[in-house]
Amino acid sequence: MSLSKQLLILISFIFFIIFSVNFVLSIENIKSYLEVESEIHVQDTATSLGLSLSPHMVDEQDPIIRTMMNAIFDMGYYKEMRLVDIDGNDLVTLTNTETMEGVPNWLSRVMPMEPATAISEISSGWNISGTLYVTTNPGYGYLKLYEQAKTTLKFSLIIFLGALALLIIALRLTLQPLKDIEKQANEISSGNFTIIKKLPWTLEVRNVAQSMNSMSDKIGNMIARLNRKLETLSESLKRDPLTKLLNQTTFNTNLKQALVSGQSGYSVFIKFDDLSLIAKDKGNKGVNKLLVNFATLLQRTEQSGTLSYRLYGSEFALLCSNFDKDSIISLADSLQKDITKLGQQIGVHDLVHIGIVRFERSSDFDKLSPAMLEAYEQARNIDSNAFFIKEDTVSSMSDLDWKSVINNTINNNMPEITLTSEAYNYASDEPVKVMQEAFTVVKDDVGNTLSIGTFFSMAQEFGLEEELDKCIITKIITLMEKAKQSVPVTINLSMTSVSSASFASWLQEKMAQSPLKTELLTFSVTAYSVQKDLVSFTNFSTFVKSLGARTLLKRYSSDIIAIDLLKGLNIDYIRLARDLTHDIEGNSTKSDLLHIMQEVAQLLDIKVIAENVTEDSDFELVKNAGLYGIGR
Amino acid sequence: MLMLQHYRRTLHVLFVFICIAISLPIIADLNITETLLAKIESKYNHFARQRVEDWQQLINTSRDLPDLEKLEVVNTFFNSNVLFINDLALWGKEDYWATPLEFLSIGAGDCEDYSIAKYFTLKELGMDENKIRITYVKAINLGQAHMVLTYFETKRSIPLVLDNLDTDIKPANERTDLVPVYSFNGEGLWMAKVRSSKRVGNSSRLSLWEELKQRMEKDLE
Repeated sequence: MSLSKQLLILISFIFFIIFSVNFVLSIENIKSYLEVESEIHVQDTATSLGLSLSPHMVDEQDPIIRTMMNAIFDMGYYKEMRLVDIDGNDLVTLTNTETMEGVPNWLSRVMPMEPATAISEISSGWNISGTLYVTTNPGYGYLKLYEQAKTTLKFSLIIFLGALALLIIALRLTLQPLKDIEKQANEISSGNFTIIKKLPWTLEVRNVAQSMNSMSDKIGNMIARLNRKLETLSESLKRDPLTKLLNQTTFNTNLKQALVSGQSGYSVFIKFDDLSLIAKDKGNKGVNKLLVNFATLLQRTEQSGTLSYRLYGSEFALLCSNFDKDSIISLADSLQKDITKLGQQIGVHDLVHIGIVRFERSSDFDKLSPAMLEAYEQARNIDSNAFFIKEDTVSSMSDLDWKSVINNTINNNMPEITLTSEAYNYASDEPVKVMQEAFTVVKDDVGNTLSIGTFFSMAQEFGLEEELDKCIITKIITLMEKAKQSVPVTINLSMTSVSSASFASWLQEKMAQSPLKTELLTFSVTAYSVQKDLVSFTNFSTFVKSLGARTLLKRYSSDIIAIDLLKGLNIDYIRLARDLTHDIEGNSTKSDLLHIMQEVAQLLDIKVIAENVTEDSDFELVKNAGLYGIGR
Repeated sequence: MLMLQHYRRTLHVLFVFICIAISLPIIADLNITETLLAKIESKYNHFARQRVEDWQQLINTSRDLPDLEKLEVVNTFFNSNVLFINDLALWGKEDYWATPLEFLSIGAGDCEDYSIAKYFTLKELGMDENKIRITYVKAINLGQAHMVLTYFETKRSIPLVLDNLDTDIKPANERTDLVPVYSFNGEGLWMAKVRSSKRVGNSSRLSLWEELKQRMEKDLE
């Protein structure tokens, strides 16, 4: 229960008690006053009527006695009047048994008022001739009491409600800063390091707000600083130190991403045929200068939408996504001319050869590199600095075949699931298994294993991704149920499913039906896919979290999604790109990057997992960085 | 020690007046102490002290007398020991009810003071309350309102009149100088006043008796 509600209830209760006590005391006072007034009044009546009757008491049967008594009695204020003679015999008795209208019966039960009786002796000359008893009718008292009670209650209630309204306003004004602080705390935990600009005037709350501001500011600055450092480190990891072109790892990543996202185009492989010969002639400096100049030449092509890479030593590449045949020929021609010019400048006629391979969604990544080499070899046979374009798409199957095999897989529920890539936490002496990945294997009609990346990419092409995801999830959940799984399992999803409302409701139903603990399900999407639609992923992440499940960003590196954006995605885990945890010893930048990433992730309450850390030296370094989970 | 004595004295006087107010036998319990007597003597004079001592003496020695003799000693005591002076002359007020103590101490009072003092002294002597009344009368010769104490041997008998104008006790039918107006028994008169004063408190309806009590408390502090 919120503080404001607790205070409201407590203070309202105190108000209620105060008003109740006040009300009861008021009523008691009124009752007491009415009783006293009644006693005085009846005594006055008895005395004055007694005095009036005195001269007539000589003849006890004189009708004027009754007449005078009637005159007073008929005012209605009296319940009984009784005149007795000196021996106690009744002379006149007048009684009013009527009850007062408009007074509820319960009032006389709750607050009984005794009727006041006054006695007055009547003398006749020197002698006492009788006694007059006068009793009031309490109905008048009750009526007055009832009306007073109603009025008092009405005003008490009005004041009570007014006081409550004032209280609510006062509480709102007083507690609003606490809500602001709570909001700020939530924002901070979401990775937004906000500041409360309008400081509250209550000293204690003001101090808390100032401290929160200071903390928010410090954490925000620290994360921004670490993020800047990460950006620098990531950038240096992606590039070749000499030419500043993107490196081979980046080329592989970019090419894979292009294939997965269904792009088509050309992959260009350029190799200096004999760089060692030039080195002999020009020396290392000369070679370096040549390479830098060559890199500048390649970079110029980026204006037409390419990406340029230095793969290794004398090997370079261009990635020309969305190029058609004419534009790649035009690019190659222009490149050949520029290279020839460059060769002429250093007196080398035949500098490089260029192998060009077409790729599209169905292309097999593993077959692209050999194809590029093959095209290069073909180019060498043509002319100096010549290029050769290999037009077949290095696809193992036609689109139709792909469609058939995907449909077949879904309809016959054929994906094979294995739980692999176990990641362990090494914080304690005994390693604890913290994550597994559900790995999907798909085969064609004759039992050959298909490239899963291409399989999914083609499924997307045919709009079957969501169906495929549902099929695979169903199998994974069944497998986990059978295996009585107790370790969380990573389940890979496509962005199509992530952004689909129908998939979300299907998933909710599926999870509700399964006896499996929902926290064991960790839904995973590649960082590259997520960065294209952060909003959809955030919504999905929030949705599965509400069901108790978790989310993971795989193949993460800070150049794809800046680390300070991670908390906004509402994720639980990041799994690092393999390259970041490979050959760390040989690249100190990677070690620094891992440490910083772990530090920031810890601040943002996100667990970092490294996969496939094969080398012992890398493993030790990853372990030292304190990552949550390491897979080998 | 002085403080303690003062405190006890105050309590004592308070108790006396509360007892008087609710019309209970008071004089025997009054136990008029030497301190109080000394106080009366210092405030008034030696005669005042003597009158109060005599009053106490009368109460202590007359309890077992028949009614008529009680009437006689009480009537004689007050008529012979206290002077009749009206309130305006004595107290500077139109109507001032003195306590029996005050009345005796100052040695003077009007007809109401006589009647009240006689009434309570007789009650203290064990007189049946139903037999005595305070009666408002008109004194024909003086042409003014007057008050006497009346004694009824039986309900229907002619009452005896204890008056300060005519010091002898006479049957009412012999008092042709007085015209009876109305009579109250002590209970009816005082209980109503005490009750109302208690409840109404410090209001304009404060009874004369209540005022008297407060005055005496202050005087004897």
